[in-house]
Amino acid sequence: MALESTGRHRYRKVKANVMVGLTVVALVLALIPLGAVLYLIASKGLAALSWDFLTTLPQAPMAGEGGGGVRNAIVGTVWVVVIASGFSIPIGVLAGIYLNEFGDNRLGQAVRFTTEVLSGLPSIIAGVVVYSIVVVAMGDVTAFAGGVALSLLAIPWITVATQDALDLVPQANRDASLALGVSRTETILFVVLPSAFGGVITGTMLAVARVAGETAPLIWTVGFSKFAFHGPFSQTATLSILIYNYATSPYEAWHQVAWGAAVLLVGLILVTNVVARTLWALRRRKMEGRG
Amino acid sequence: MSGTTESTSNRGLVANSRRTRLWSRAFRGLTALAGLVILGIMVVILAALFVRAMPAIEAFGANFLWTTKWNSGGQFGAAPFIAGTLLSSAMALLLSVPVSIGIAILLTQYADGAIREVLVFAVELVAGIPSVIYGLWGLLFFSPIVDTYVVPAINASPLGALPIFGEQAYSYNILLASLVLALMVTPIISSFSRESLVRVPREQRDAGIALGLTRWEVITGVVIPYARAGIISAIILGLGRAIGETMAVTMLIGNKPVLTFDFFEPGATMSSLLANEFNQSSNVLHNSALFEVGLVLFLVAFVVNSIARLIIQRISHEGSR
Repeated sequence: MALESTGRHRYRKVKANVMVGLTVVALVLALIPLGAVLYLIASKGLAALSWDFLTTLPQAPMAGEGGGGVRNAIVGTVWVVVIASGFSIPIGVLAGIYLNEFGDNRLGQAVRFTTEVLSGLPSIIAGVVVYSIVVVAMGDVTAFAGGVALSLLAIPWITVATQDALDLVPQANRDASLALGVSRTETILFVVLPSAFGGVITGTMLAVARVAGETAPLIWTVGFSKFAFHGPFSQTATLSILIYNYATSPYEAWHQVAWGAAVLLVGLILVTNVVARTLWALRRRKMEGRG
Repeated sequence: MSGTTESTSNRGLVANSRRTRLWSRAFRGLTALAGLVILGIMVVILAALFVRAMPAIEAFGANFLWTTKWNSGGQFGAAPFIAGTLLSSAMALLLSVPVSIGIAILLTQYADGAIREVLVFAVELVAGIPSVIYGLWGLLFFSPIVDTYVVPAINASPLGALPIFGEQAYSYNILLASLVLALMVTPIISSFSRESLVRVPREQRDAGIALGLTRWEVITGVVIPYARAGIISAIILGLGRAIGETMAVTMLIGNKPVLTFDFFEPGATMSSLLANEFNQSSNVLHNSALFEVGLVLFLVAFVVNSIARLIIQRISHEGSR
């Protein structure tokens, strides 16, 4: 009987090995282009970087000496992201606290549902809506309007991250604190939040990093500018829009500038990601070690 | 301790607890207010899109969804963009789903230790690269490769006979956008699939192996059926991302507002239209039609994401039982 089944058995074993091979092929198929993305950004981008690149303004490609620098876009990106964080971090963290600690009711259900819907909002919609309200009211595209548009995306992300982090805090911690006669609010502020702090910070950093690379919401809200940053209430350059505009231009010099801006933007996002995730991993290891 | 000090400290406690209660209520109110802001954002988004879309809704009614003329003779129909969104997303999923699930299987069932941790980390990092970067890469590096290698290869193969691949290949076309979209959703689908594969209990796998199944048979017969709902929701979440994706598509698809089913032709999607034309026109009806496209895009994304969330909710309910 063992002999009868050998052929079939061998077929099954071969098939198992072939399929494992195919999953490796799948990984390689994905890694080659994704690796090519990173490699090109690093090689072309780093080649474009220099002190002048960081500290001068863009210039017309006709000038015969490259496309200039991206100082205004760096400053603009920082401003837009800071404005977006100013709106989205307080609202997102508080709403996350509400959902996890007080949200066992009708309002909580409605907010939870809305947060989930908004976290899948196509990013261009955020730009279109903020254009039709903020930009139309102010009469011009501004860094402020761009920050508002980005905050529409970041608020649900931060809310979900905060709620997830609070959800990980053991109920026993809350009960112990309440049993000592500590009020609900103080329990949340001094017991729950401190132990969820790492998770909240990680989630917030990831959301802010993601928003820093968003482009679509800024096209109609921030626009672009070749001039130095002129305050949060005027038209502003950002790295992401600069990459969009210069990559789609026909000038080789501007393509170089776009690669340089890309390495700055991706570097910023990847470093934030690595720091946030490492913090989180360390913290989890510590917590598991204690448990 | 004398009686007087005791009563003062009691009074202090009462005042203290009243103050605490006030604080508690204020804090709770503040968090509820943040929740209300989120509801408000949703209302404002829907109202802004709907109000601005009204003139177009009144002018074209339901015909807007299936007529193909865009900005010609005062006519506006969204069919080219709806088709463009569906075609590019469908092709992206077709290419990405097998690869993503293969990666998820490899990472959960075969790779272990340091290799797995590094790969998981890499996949999550790659998911953080902004879409404009994929656009830049697609435009300046990948597009010539597609022109010189991919398009001739398709034409030479039996696939070239399919009606979805025509004669003339433009540099910027639906195929290029779909390929880059596939690349962008792969980290998302594979990391969500991985999460549901990880949750398959060890005992289930061991039982399969004890029955004498090969590892691959355990995967197809035990692991994948167990994680099926999670994998499906991962695919739908990837679809939602592909539908809403704007920058890479805008930079690569060619932005031609014409209905086509030929992947070698330039096309346009709902989001690429908004990225390109929005704000460019003083024509009231044109503007309004753009807002209506935004409304349709919002609703499509809403439906797709809701389906994924419903499936995920059902899984977590089953898990808690």
